[in-house]
This record gives sequence, C-alpha cells and structure tokens, in this order.
Amino acid sequence: MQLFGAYAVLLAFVLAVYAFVAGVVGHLRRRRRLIVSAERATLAVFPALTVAVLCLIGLIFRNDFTVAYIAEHSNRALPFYFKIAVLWSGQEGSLLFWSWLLSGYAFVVLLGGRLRPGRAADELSPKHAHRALVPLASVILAGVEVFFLALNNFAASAFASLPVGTPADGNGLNPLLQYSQMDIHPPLLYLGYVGFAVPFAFCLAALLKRYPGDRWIHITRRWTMVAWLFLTIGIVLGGLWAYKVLGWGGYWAWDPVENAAFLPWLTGTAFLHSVMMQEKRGMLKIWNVWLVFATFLLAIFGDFLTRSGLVSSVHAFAQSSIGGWFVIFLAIAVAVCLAAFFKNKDFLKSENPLESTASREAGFLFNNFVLLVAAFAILWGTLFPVISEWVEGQKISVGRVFFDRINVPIFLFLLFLTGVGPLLAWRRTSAASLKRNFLGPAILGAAVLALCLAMGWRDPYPLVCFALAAFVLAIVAMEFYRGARVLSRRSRRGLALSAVELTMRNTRRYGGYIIHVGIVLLAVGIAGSGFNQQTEGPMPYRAKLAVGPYTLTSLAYTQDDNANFSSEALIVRVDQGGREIATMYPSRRFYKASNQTQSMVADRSTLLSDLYLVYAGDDPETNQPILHAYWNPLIAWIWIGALVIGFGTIIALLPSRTAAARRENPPARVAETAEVAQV
Amino acid sequence: MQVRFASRPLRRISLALALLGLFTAGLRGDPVAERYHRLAAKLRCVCPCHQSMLSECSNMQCSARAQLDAAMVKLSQKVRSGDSDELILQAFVQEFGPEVLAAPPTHGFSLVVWIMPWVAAGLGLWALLAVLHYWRAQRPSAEPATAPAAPAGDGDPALARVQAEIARELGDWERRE
Ligand code: HEM
Repeated sequence: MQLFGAYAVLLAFVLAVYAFVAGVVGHLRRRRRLIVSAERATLAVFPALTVAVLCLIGLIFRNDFTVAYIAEHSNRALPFYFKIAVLWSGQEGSLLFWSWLLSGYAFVVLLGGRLRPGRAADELSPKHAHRALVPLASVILAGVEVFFLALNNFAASAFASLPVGTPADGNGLNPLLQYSQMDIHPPLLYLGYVGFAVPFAFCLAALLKRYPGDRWIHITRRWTMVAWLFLTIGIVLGGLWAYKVLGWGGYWAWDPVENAAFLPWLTGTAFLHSVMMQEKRGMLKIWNVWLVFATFLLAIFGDFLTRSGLVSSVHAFAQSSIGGWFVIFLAIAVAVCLAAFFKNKDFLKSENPLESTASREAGFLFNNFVLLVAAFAILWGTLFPVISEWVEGQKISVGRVFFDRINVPIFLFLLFLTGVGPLLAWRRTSAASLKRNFLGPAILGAAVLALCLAMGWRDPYPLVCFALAAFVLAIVAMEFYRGARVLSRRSRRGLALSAVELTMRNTRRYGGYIIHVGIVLLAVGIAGSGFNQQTEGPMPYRAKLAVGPYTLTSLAYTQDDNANFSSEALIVRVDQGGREIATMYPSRRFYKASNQTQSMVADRSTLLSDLYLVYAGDDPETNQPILHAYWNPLIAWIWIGALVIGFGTIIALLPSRTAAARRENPPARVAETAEVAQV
Repeated sequence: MQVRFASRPLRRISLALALLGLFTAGLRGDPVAERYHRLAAKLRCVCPCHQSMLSECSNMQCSARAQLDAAMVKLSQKVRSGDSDELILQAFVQEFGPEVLAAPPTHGFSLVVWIMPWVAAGLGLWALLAVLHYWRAQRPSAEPATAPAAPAGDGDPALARVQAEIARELGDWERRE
C-alpha cells in the first residue's frame, strides 16, 4: 500500500506537469485537442491523489510504522477519530492533503464548467459565458498543482520509509492535536487557503485572455465567497481550539500563523466589497485584480509561514526546511502576475468616474482602505521580529499588546463603516437622507453608551464597541423591517415571512447584511474580553477561590489510566450567590507514546460568560494542585457570530429567486440604467 | 537563556513561597500583588508557544515552564525589593533578551514597528483622497448634478417596486440597490 500510494502521488505529478505544459502549448498554439487533453489530465489528478490519500489513511489505520510519517505522528492506542487527524498533523501529510484539496477544486471547476467537445466559446449563453475561461483557469490550477506535487514527491514525501527498522509503536499524535476541533479546523482552513487558488486562476485567465465583459468577475466573486466561507469558519474554529486547548483563557494570540490565515481573509473581504464597484459601476478593475492576486499570494505566504519556521509559533506542528521551495514559487507567482498585468492593463480601464464622496462607491473605498491598513499592520508586525533580527541582530517580539493596540481602533472604525456603508446610495447620497437614516441608530448607539457609562464601565474600547454594535444592528434591522413591511402589505403575509421573502429575492444583499450581523456579534464577544477576570491559587481539599461572580471549592482529586494516557483531575464545586450551580473537572493528561503532559481545560459556557478552569499542575514543594480560573464574559457570542456569518454567506451564495430571469437578462449597471431612466 | 538557581531545593522553596505569597496577596488586593500583575502583563512567557503573557501561561507543553516559574520567583522578589518597574523590566531583558517584553519598546529601532502602520494608514488615506479627487475632477460636466433614480431590484421588478416604495415612504429617491 505504501508503494502504491507513493506511485499514485508520482502519477498525479506527471499528470499535472502534462496538464500544465500541454495546456500552455495548446493555448499558445490554439490547439483545441491539446487543450481538451490537458483538461482531462487535470481531472485525472484528483482520482490519483484520492487513491494516495486513501492509501495513507489505510496505512495509518493499519499502524504501519515502517512509514516514517506514521511512526512520527501516530501510535497504536490513538483512538480512530484522531487517526484521521494524523493525515494533516505533520508536514508531509498536510502537504499531501493540501494537494488533494487543490486537485478537488480543479476537478469541480472543470466538471462544472468544461466546454463540451466541439462547442466553441462564443456559442455560450450569457449564463455559461464564464465557461470560456475554464480551460485556461484549469491550466493555471495545474501549474499550482505542479508546485505542491513536486513538494509531495521530492521534498516531503508522506510515504517515505524510516531509514532503519520498524518501531513497535509510533511517537503518537501531538497531544495538542487530540481534540475534536482538530478533526475539522485544519480541513476547513485548508479548504479556505486552497480555495483562493480558484478565483486567482479565473482572474489571471481573464486577464491573460483579455476576456470581454464582467462575467469573469461574477464567477471570481462566487469562488472567493466559497473560499472565504471556509477560511472564516476555519479561523474561528482555530480560535475555539486555542481557547479549549491551550489553556491560557484566550482564543486569539496574534500568533504568526493565526495572522497568516487572517491576512488573506482581510484582502478577500476587501475584494468581496470592491467587486461590487466593478459589477455595478465598472470601476476599480485594476484594484480588484490585484486584490485577488494578493489574496492568493497571501494564502501561499501563510502556508509558507506555517511550514518554514521563519517565525516562531505555537503552530509548529509542521515545520521543516521546505521554505526555499515556497520562496521560489512565490517569486514565480508574483512575476507571472506582474507580467500578465503589465501586458494587459489597458484592458482594465475604469468605465465610470466617482461622483460623490457621500456615495456607496466611496464607502467601499473606505472599507477597502481600512481592511488593507489592518492587513498591512498585521503583516508588518508579524514580520518585524525577522526584520529586527536582520537589522539589529536581535529578535524583538511583537505580540498581543502591539496587535491589540494597533488593530482595535482600526476595527472599531471598520465596525462604524459596516453600519454606514449599506445606507449610502450608489453615485451620491444627500445630507438629508443620511440624517434621516442615521438619526435613529445613532441615538440608540448613544443610549447604549450612556447605559454602559451609568453601569460604571470605563474601559473605552468595549464601550465604543457596544455602542457601534447597537448602531449597526439598528441599521440592519431597519433595512429588513422596511423591506419586509412593504412586502407584507402587498402580500398580506406576516412580517417574518415577508423578511424571508425579501431575503430570498436579493440573497446577496440581505445575505451580506446577515454577515454583518455576525460580524457585530463577533465584535461584541471580543469586546467582552475587556471585562475578563482571572485568578490562580493552590487548591487543596476544601480550599476556595473566587473569580467573577463564582466561588470555587476544591472537593476531591481523581486519577484514571488508559492505553493512550493517564490523567488526574480536580473536582471543583462552583457556587454563585451562595447556591451550587455546577461541578467542574479540570484535568491533566500524560500521553504515554509522546511522553507529553497536557492540561485539559474545563469550560462552563453560557450566553453571558464562561467559567474556564485550568489545572496547571502540582506545586513541586507542597504537592498541592494549582488552579487557574478565568471568568470570560460574552465569549460565546464569538462562536455564535461565526455561525451567523456562515449562515449569511450561504444565503449570499444562493441564487436570488429571480436569478434565472436575471442571468438571461443581466441587470444593467447603475450609470447605464440611470441613462435609460433619463431617456 | 536558562535561569540557574544554586540548588534545586532552593528554587523549589522560593518558588512555593513566592507563589503562595502572591496568590493569597492577590485575593486581598495587596498592592504588591497588583504590581506583580501589572508587571506580568508587560512580560511574555519565554516559551515556545509564544502566545501567553507571563501571568497566563498554563501550557504544560511549555519546555520553558521551569524558566517561567523561576521568572515568577524572580519577579516576586524584585517586586518586593522596591526597584522601579523600569529597572525590573530591564533586568528581565538582560536575563531573557528583548523577546521577554510583551510589547516592543517605543525607542530605538523598535519604534519603527509602532510608527509604520500609521505611516501606511496616512499614505493610504492620502492616496485614497487623491483618487477620489481625481475621479471627481473627471466627472463629465454635462451630467445633471443629481442623477435620476435608476430602477432598483437587480432585475427583479417586484423587488424594484418594493424598494421604490420604501424610498417613496422615506421621501428618498436615491438608489441604494
Ligand atoms: C469585517 C467587516 C465586514 C465583513 C466581514 C463583510 C462581509 C460582507 C460580505 C461577505 C458581503 C456579501 C458580499 C457578496 O455577497 O458578494 C457583504 C455585503 C455588503 N457589505 Fe460588508 N462586510 C464588512 C464590512 C463592511 C463595511 C465596512 C461596509 C461599508 C462600506 C460594508 C458594506 C457592505 C454592503 C453595502 C453589502 C451589500 C451589498 C449589496 O447590496 O449587495 N461591509 N459584506
């Protein structure tokens, strides 16, 4: 099976190389048959890699420790539901997984959009017009595959054997990865990262082909949304994992690898907004192309950061010396983007000028500006330790304090814009209209601020955040209410049903608003950290510790043992207002195969706050257990916000109820329709 | 950098005393404990996880856990010895290198890390305003000052009617679709 898997990866590489070379030659020489053959080869990469991935999974389940990767990352006693996580827990496996996902995306793109043989691109209906780009986009995807498959074959083979002998058991999976979140966080994150290759391929293909019209931007937007959705959920699940596993009471530490995932998210979000300027007004074409390029390049850069060890990180699960390969690939990718851009930039001329700074266009420009400033600040802070080492010879750490201080004001401004943006009209908005639409929400925001101050809260950032949250929620609610009320009057249906109808009639717009609500909830959850409390202390029998509104009492201490780990747990009674409300079991595990100890956090989560307990170990002298206790208000809203974002994104991806009519008869741009109206 | 104590029992005893002292002090709101927490918030845990403040590291994976414990003892001793915060932090930098500081210093080369995001924001804003200005200057003069409302609804006549009605109700003929 080992050999079979290795050959499958090699076959995938050969197929990808053929697809790329034949595709390039086919397109340059306009050889239709060569192009079709290249497409078939791209399609075939996916089954080949599926076989390879299945082989590796089979070997993992068979505990075949002749395979170095499996000896390194798995062991016999590992429960089956964590064995699957072995696939992405180390360098070689995760690279194979990455290639497999990429080939899967290419497969879907090709299956969904391949031109039927013998059919010319110009015979396509408007609905299928983007299919003309699929052949070239698939060649670009094959090019990206060549790089990753080269790594799989020549730099980091998941099927390589141990140099000598076969150990009786493996080293085991890193205890930090033995959590249910690890079964879904990495695949989702990877689906996000890898997914950005698809909009990149379409965008580059459109540029190279000087593809007329804006159809390509629709398909690029749709694929960006898909990748963005996965990345969003992947990032938040990563936060959830950090929160539940790392035991420091937080979920986001501005770790370089977290930042690396956040960067393409920021540029992707910017693109999802600026793309509307191109669709509706024919503006910002150059900007959009570069946002798509930057998002893809940042995704690859993020992968490079995770794997190269350039910056030290908690995610050092998959580090090795393959950084050089990534540098070369990134250099080639940048060169290709630059060359394609300079050769064809006249094709990206803006069609309309901006008319007013109080317009939706300007709102989107500010949105992009803020998102990119945040992206720059994060990139800069992440790389600064490396820069300082080059310049001064010593590494200066740039941690949470820096990132919080720089980013919190930036994101608060973004939150404000999230409220303002949707109320701005295309082209121009009058002061009277602004006043009419903003007054109510602004008063509500001010009332919330006053209420917070009256409650004695003084930390400015959470207060501003709560006020802005109320402001944005009021605006979104107003948007839904107004539309639903009119619809309900017409159809005589209830407001709720009418709101659903309204959403389904313009999924993109109202899906976007739901996403904004998710962002607000997430912001409220983050703002809650301004009220966090923590304490720590020895917890011998009957000892007490107070945190937030709770009193903790140590009741007992238990031990357990199984094949994978031995564990010891504290039994802690939780009282609130003199009444017992829960019993919690913070524990520690000693993993036998890897010889590593891991704290198992006990978390009691409610909508208002979390009580989070970490058994940090025993005092070496007194042997008394030490407990860290955290009271984290509002944290649950972060996870709820992420769910709402996911829901909104799915809505925004659905075709609107009248989409069929619209696709056949695409809406004219604002300027054009304005002219028609004038006539 | 490894912190070495004269003997292991000495390290253990001083650690236990320091921890116990600080924890009980923390419960009573002791100024020493407050200072301890204030300083701990300015220091990082010098461990490979590189993500927690000194006060927060409960990561048992930390190979530098022993260093952290030693740092806590040292911190508590320094706190009690009455040195200024600045001096205590400097001692940490000497012991562990500049990486121990939770935030980069605001002097010397590190100042650049603080300034650059705002410089970039300033440049970006300037570029944005320049683009806005340029575009507005390009606006065709023949066009009416207020553009007439365009049909809304993204091709959906029903939705267009709804949006027009909302706009009418609000006396707002501007197009937000
Ligand atoms: C982190 C903050 C934000 C996130 C994650 C976010 C995300 C999104 C997403 C994913 C969509 C749907 C796009 C589509 O379906 O193509 C959307 C729609 C929208 N966003 Fe945002 N957004 C954010 C902030 C903002 C800001 C600051 C503005 C202000 C200019 C804004 C204005 C809009 C508008 C007007 C729409 C609806 C467009 C329509 O009518 O179709 N958003 N947003």
